Amino acid sequence: MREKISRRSILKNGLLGTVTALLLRPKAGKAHDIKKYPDSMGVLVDLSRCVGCRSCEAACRAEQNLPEPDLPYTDQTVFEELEHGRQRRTDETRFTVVNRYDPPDLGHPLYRKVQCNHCQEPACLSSCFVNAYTKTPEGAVVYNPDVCVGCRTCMIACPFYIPTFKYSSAFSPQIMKCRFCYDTRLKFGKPPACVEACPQEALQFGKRDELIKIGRRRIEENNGSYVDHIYGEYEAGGTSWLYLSKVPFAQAGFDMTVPHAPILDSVKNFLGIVPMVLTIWPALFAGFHLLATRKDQARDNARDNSQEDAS
Amino acid sequence: MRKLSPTAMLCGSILMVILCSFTGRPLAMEKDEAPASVTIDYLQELYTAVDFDHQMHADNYACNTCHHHTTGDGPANDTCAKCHGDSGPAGDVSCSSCHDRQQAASASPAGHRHSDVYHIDKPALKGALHLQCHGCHQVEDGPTGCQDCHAFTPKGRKIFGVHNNVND
Repeated sequence: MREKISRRSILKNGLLGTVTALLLRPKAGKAHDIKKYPDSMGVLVDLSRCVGCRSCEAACRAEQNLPEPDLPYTDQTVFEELEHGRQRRTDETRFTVVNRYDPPDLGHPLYRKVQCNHCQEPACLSSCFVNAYTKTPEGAVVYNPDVCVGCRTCMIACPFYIPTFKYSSAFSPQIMKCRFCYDTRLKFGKPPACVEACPQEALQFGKRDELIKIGRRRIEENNGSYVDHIYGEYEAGGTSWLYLSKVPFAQAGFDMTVPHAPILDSVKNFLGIVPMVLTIWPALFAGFHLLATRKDQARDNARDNSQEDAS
Repeated sequence: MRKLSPTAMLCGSILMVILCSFTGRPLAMEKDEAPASVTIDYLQELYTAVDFDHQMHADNYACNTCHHHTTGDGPANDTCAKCHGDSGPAGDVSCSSCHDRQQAASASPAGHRHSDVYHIDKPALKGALHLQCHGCHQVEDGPTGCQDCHAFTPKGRKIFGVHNNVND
């Protein structure tokens, strides 16, 4: 005998199934070990040493064969430039920019170099569905334009607003960003061009683990003149580029709201339920629809039959 | 081993006593032994050589302002003084004798020598010179613009996108 299934029991079981599936999904917020390449390289940036000479910008342009800027690198008026009310950013013509800040209690300007921070667990990499990004054992986050479809999700995923789109070639999509001079220098053990160009040794190249030790030593040996924090040691799950500062990082334009957990951790629970939603929900709601309309259809059929009988 | 004659030993002892009675520690280098001018020419790719007026700086500042402890004056920095308070003059006081020309790719101590363990944060020559000169110039109102000390070479002008001679 066929078991009788009421509409109510289908609804009840369907909802129960969805709720169970939601509850049984991977535990939210579970800490995970950050994958680390033990000998990956990094750069320690000491903001207090930077004098805003822009030698790094000039060296980067030459190394990466980027177009020549409108103004020479000796021109300091670029520090006044505002684009849409904000300071200069990296774009398809420049992988690094130096910006000036005027912290209230410092008495002299402070300069900050912006480039890709080469995260340990890059959000751009996690967000890319064609795997155009790679974190190399040397520490660089490199991008492969050959597989990129130009969706620009990486630009939204990056907590530091680094990947930029080459709008001048929209039909062969290309993301433009600092590549740690991977192809020309890093993979041969050489420091990136910007580091080599820095006259003040505001940029120091070395193994990330050792740079953290050097950073700690510098904080200790300078009698409290440095902020007791290395920005990038934990931010966004840790970055290959690390920063020391003598003024609060927020005063040099650093985003202090960047979580210490990798960006992936904030979205993986959501991403985890996407396949379940895509497979269960269509069947469930199609079922609801059929059940809801079955009575009407039966009534319509009955009416049609009775009309046929009458005529 | 050859034995020293008693006379030689006596002479040596007398000489040491005389020397130590003057200073209490090895003799410091005298200012007039210092060069009048130093040409800094190891980085001539983008910039021409810099003629550093050593005499003017030596006349106005103590040796240890720049030379840390190597001229035998005792270091000005408390951290250095912990070990180098009495270390006396070094055989070579030039910046390049301690500060390497290339920034080390790894800052890890190569061995277990104290100099390696305690000097893990030693800048390379270019960094040392700029941090020392530029840092002091900021405080003492010396010249701080890049072109105040450095004249571009043709390659430097190209790299920096300077197409006229105004910024020389």
